[in-house]
Amino acid sequence: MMMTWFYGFISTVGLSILFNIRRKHIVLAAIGGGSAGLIQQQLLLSTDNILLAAFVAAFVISIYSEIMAGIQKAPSTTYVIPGVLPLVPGAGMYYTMLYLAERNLSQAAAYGYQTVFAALAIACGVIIAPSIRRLVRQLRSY
Amino acid sequence: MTHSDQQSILNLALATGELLLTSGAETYRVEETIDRMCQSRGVAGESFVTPSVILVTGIIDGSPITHMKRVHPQQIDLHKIDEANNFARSFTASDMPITTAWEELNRVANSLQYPLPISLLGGGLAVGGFAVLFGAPAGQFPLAFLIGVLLQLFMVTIMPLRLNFFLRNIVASFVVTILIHLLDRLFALAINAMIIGSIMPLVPGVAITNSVRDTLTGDFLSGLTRASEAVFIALGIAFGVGVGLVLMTGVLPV
Repeated sequence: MMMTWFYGFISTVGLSILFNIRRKHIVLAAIGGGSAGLIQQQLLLSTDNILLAAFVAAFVISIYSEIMAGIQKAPSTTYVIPGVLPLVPGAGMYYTMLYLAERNLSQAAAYGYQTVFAALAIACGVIIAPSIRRLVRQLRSY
Repeated sequence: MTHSDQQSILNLALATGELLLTSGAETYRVEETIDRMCQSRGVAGESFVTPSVILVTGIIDGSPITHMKRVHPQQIDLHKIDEANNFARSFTASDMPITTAWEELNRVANSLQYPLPISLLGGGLAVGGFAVLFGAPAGQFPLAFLIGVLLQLFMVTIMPLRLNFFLRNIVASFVVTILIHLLDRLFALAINAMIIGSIMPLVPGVAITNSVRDTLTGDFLSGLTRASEAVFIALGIAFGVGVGLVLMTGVLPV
């Protein structure tokens, strides 16, 4: 479990460098990325539901990003973008192609379906936190 | 305020918006920044932004003047978004003179990227981490790291060719698939995990995230544009990997 978090952390550090995030934000962004990967993996193991795992992990990471953005006075994209990337179904995409190349159409279709819906689940997860922030802002201005 | 003062505020707001947009900021952030910068100096303005164009209209001496700026997306640069955001905030919160503002904005626009060795390190860490995360044994981390470094080096090398994003993703994922299959003959790699790890830095996570955020704020046009970008990036990667797999495993698809 620690290892999953650790490798998620490392890869998010790498991505953060590629996105030109500065040092003071990198560690926080990578903590988010590592945790997102871990949450997704654990949920996948316990519920065997790819959509739920992707959704919950994306939701947690977007909440985390909004909070960190508020504390650090930085745009929340600085944390959301590298944090969400470990969740993106690159593996599903790859296996879809692999099975297509092996002419195993039913497996390819199964993985293709998972990939598309996992991407949609991430999208739904990411949408909620900024919505809540807007709501809070509006309630305050009443 | 004179006519040309108002003009230059409009220009400044437009340039700030362009910097934000080319670095990969969300649509609402760009629009809000432009509007606020205009309003802070008493120029009634309105803006409309999509990923490829910025339109700004300011009422100058009673008559509307519109600027249209075609924008070409560049590399995602979250540091520039952060800095441009801070700049716009301090501009609207103070009475910073226009000349100082331009200097400040130029400083942000020319702020440095990480030097090549660091970005190679970034590519290596990303691919290495993802490869292990997707099931490669930890002992193969160094090899995955090396592949990531090579991939990043390749991306930097083909940058001057100005390939469009579709072709760039096809080429990169094709090359990396071939490379991993060749390395496998020497070292017996966890091929699947390695390839997945290598395509993770290419995968359209940014486009998906921004597409959703744009749609949420009511910028449906931008949301759709970015969603189609995400689809085509994914298709490009899938195509590159697919062709690589077919070549290296010797089976033809259906």
